[in-house]
This record gives sequence, structure tokens and C-alpha cells, in this order.
Amino acid sequence: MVIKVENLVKRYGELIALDHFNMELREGEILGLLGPNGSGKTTAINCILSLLKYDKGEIQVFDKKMSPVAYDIKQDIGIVMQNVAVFNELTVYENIDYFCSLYVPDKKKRQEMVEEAIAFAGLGEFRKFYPHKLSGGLLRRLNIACGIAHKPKLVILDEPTVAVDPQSRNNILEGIVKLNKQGATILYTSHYMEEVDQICTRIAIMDRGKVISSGTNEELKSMIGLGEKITVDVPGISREAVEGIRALPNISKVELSGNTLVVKSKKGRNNLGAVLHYLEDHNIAFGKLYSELPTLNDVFLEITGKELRDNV
Amino acid sequence: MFKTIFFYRSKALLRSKETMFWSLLFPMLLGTLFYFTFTNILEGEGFETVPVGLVDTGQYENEEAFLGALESVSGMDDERTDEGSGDILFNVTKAENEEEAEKLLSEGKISGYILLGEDIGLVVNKSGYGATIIKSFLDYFKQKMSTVENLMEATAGKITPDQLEEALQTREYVKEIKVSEESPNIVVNYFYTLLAMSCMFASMAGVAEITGIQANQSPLAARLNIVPAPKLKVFLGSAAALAVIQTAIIALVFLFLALVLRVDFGKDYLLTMLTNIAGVITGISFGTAVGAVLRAGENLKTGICSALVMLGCYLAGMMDVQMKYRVQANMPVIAKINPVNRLTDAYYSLYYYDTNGRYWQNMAALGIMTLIFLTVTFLVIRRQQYESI
Repeated sequence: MVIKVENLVKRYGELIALDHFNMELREGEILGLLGPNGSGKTTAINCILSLLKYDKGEIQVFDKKMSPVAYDIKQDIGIVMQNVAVFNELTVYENIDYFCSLYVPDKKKRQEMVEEAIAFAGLGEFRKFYPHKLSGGLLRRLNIACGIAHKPKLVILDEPTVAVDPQSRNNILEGIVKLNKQGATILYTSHYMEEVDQICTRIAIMDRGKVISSGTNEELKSMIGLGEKITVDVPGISREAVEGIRALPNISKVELSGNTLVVKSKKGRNNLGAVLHYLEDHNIAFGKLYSELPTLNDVFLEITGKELRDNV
Repeated sequence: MFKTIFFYRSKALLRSKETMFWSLLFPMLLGTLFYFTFTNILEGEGFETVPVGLVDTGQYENEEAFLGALESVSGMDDERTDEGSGDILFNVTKAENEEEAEKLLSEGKISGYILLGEDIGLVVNKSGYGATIIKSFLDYFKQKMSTVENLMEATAGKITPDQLEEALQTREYVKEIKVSEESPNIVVNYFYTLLAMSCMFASMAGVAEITGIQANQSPLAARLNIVPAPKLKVFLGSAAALAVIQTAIIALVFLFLALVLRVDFGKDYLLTMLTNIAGVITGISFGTAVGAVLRAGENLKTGICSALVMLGCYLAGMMDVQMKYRVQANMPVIAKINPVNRLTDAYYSLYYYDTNGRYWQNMAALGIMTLIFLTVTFLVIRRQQYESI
């Protein structure tokens, strides 16, 4: 087990930030810690890294008890903070070399590692740039390069794509998958469900300081009673027609909001064909139509009764 | 690891515009300002010969003695010297009568005039430096004449010239033992407090160093708390770089003051440099202790630290040299524990005293302070974990 957290409790005065938080990260996984802002993701990471005192619980990393002086454990950890943590007076190359030197004393070996990290982050042409000359996306990539240059076995990324443009975000996500393929185990926190959906092999959903559900993407979606969701623009549809659609087989819910009709199927079922046929057979004019499978937001909504997005 | 931290931290400090301004440019600019200000003050403080008028009616019985005494400290109008020449007390202008003397006085050509009638009189327009000097001279003359008259009366005129001379001699009952070849100079104290301030400005960088390893202060500090090494090791590498760069900067400030502004630092430049190094180390350790003890953000810590340094400068006489003596007289403990005062005193000891006893006392005090600051820092930050980040 790379990380094992049991019954972790962390209080800030009256506020319980982590409420008997449990988590396991196995070797080779990309575990996504998904939750709205304030759900306790960063607090959990800071406790795992022994930066924060906690009130109760056990934390093991690489099957050893984690502590502030567990330098042998820290040697194999790479951390990418939520906020960019680099020296403004050092260039891209110097920053990466500085942080790498804290793990790798051998200069020659380090040079190779720094070059690899620069290539990995796509910062080759910016190696002599100072951080204030970099765009937000490049700065994030530098932040990542500083965290992973020493080739850690465990990489912890705390919301590394906040305030990053879509292109840079894709680069970062691809990089994380690449790191994982190179052998690193990844703990990834985010409140963007699409990211977690895209790259994580396992997901733990957090709310109010505890993991409320965990599993693979498919496992989580299969936990809830929803199947396909069809959204269609139907200007002027009659009440009878709405009731007709509701009467179709495997339909769990039909909602009309203005001209937009949302049809939700029962778990594991697809109704796109049946709905289309109904509309055509009854000469109901329709516009934009699309179908989607349940998302992690639906999972979060079903478990907590609130939208994940609303909390972002 | 130490070497790399030292190397990169040095680079970062050398590239920091903030460090260069506050540690190098600001003291140089302030030193230049001091130079122009105090040069004018010193020039203004030079002794000026007092222009005085003399109206002699020929009625004064001791006329001859008085004119002799006046002549001995004056240039008469036919041998007038330039004002401020230093050796003579008065420039005397003889007036034919009181009207002429009044005219000279009203035109401001003389500070007052001496009227030799039946007695000696002094006429001035207003009190001031010149009037005071003339009056003191006249009082002194009258006192001596009175002594002579009393002696003559007491001895019925049988006093010998030697006895008279003996009786008129002014005796000193306090013996001056010179401790220095140098003359006392309060102006240099301003420049010494300036250099001491520059050393103690390293405290602000000291605050930055300590907050740089306190995980609750910045993401960068948090990252440095996760590395596989004791944070004291990271801190030492970084603080050593700071000490070296700051010492180099202070050396430049010192050379600027000594060679460009011609501030007298005595003869032992090596010991002055040693004082600079001690000052920088005390400054850094003071900053780290303040940074470690205060529970606040970096900006507030830096603000408090710079306020304490400036208070130390004020109490050491940077804004008014008399303050240094007032503190020394009324609050000697404050003077003893004020590192700026200790540094200033160390520089002054090297300038003024021929022996180094007082200098080493100050250096020992700075060493003890540094030890206390570092101990406090170490005790607070070792194995520090945080309630919140």
C-alpha cells in the first residue's frame, strides 16, 4: 500500500475539517480525490505529508508511519502544490535544479533528471525564463516539473489545473497519465469532475471531511439508479405528449423546463431510439437533441443531494 | 545539498532588487544626505570673530590695562583680520564718539560697543552670541582688576610683580588625561548608526529566511517542509548565503562612506570589517528570532522587525545624537541591549580610543545577543508542525 489513512480527524476549533477520513492508495493507481471546495481534500494531503497536526488517526506511507522527520519516506514523494511554489529570482532551469538538488545530491545525475523534467513539462524553450515572464499555464507546468524532477514513486498533485487554460490543462493531464505509465503512483485532487473522470483509475468522492463513496468510474456510476439522460428542445410540446414519453419503458423521470425536455432512463438503460420514434410518430417538432451517460456530478448529486458544480 | 542551496540562494539574493535597494542603495543615499547636512552644520559651527566697537572718552582710570588686554585678544581696525580666522576674539573698530558707535551698531557692523567712561560700559542692540562673548570678556577683566585692587589695598602696594602674577593665575584643578589621538567628533556617530542600521537591515532578510521554512507562511515554505532533510539544514544553507551576500553589501556601503564621503572610521579597517560581519550576523539572527516568535504573516513580521530596528537606530542617536547620551544616562539597560547602539559604539571605539577594550566589550555583547536570538529561533522552529496552513 502506498498510502493508508485510517480514521483521520482534524479540527480547526469548532470546525471538523476531516471527520474520520479513510483512504487507501495502491501502487500504480491514479486516485482522484474529488470534492467541492472546502470538502477537506487539501487538509487531508497536508496531514498525509505531516505538515499539519491532526487530532486522531493513523497515516502510513509506503507501509511506514509518516512523520515530519520521516526523511526516507519523503525522499520518494513529489508534491505539486495548489499554489505555484517557485523562486521568482531563479530561472526555470535553476528552479527545477534547486528543488531536485534537495533530493538528488549527485550533480551529473541531477542534470539528466532536470533535462527530463524540462522536456516532460514542455519547457525547453523557456529554460532561461524567470517565472514572472511565464504565462499561467507555463507557470503551472514549472510547478509540476519542480515537484517531479527527482522521479518520486508517489506524486501528490493538489488541484494543479486551477486557473489554467484548456490547452495547458490537457497538457498537464496527459503528463500525469504519462508519469503514471512511467511507474509513479498518483494522488490527484480536484473539484473538476471531468478531469478526474478522464485520468483517474479510481475515485474517492469527498464531502464534509469524509470519503462518501469510492471506486472506479464505472463502479461509482453504477451505484446510482440512473441511466442515459436525453435533453431535447421541443417548442410547444403538449402535456399529453410529455405524459406519453413518461409512459415509455425504462423511463425514470421526465422534466419539462421551458422548451427543454429532460428524459432520464433507469439504471443501465438507453432510450434515445424510443424517444426519437415517439417524437417522429407524433409529429412533434424538435430542435437540438443530445444524450449523455451519468456523470460524477450525478453520482455526487444522488449521494449528497447537492450539485458538485454548485460548490465550485 | 548545502552547497546547492547556498549557491542558488546567493544568486537569488544578488538578483533581488529589493535587497539591493534597501541594503545597498538606501544606506548610500542616506549617507550622502547626512554628508551634505552635517558638512553644513560643521561649517556653521566654526568660531566667528566678534566685531566690536570701542568708544574711549579717556576718563577710565585703568584705560591702559584694558586696552592692553583688549589688544591681546583682538585685531584693531587698522589690522583687521577676516572673520572666522580663529585665533582672535574681537575685531575692534574705534569710534570717535557714541553717535558713530551707535551708527555702526544700527548698521549691524558691530555686535556691540564698549564705552570707556568713568567705568566700563557695554551697549548692545540685542542679546546673542557676540554680545555674550563681549560681556564675558568685560566681566573677566573687571574681576581681575578687582582682584588686583584688593591685593594692592591689602598689601599697601608692597606686592611684587611675581606675587601679582601668581595671584592672577588661573588654576586648573582637573587634569585631562587623553584617551585618544583623535578629537571627539559627534558627527561620525550619525554615519556609524547608519552603517549599524544597514547591518541590522539584514534582519528583514532574516525574517524572510525563517518564514521561508515555516510551512504555514507560503506554498514555497510548505514545499521545503516536505523535502527529505531537516529544515534547519535548508535554513542554514540559505542563511549562510544571506550572511555572505549581506556582508559583501555592507562592505560596499562601508567603503563608500570611508572612501567617497571620507567618514573617519579610525585606522583599523580589518576590525571595522569584523564589526560589519558581526552586525550582519546579529541582524540576521534578530530577524530569524522575530520571525520565529511572532505568530503573524511575513509582511507583519517584517514590519515589526523594521520598526524595532528603526527604534534601535533612534535610541542610538541616528536622528539626534543627544538621544544616545540621554538613553545612556537614564536607561542604561536599553543602551546595553540595543544592538544598533552596540554596533555604533563599536565603530566609535575603533575611531576614538587608542585601546580596544571597549570595542571588544561591544563585540562580546553582540555575540551574546546573537547566541540568544539563534537559540530562540532553534527552539521555536525545530520539528514545528502547524495547526493550520
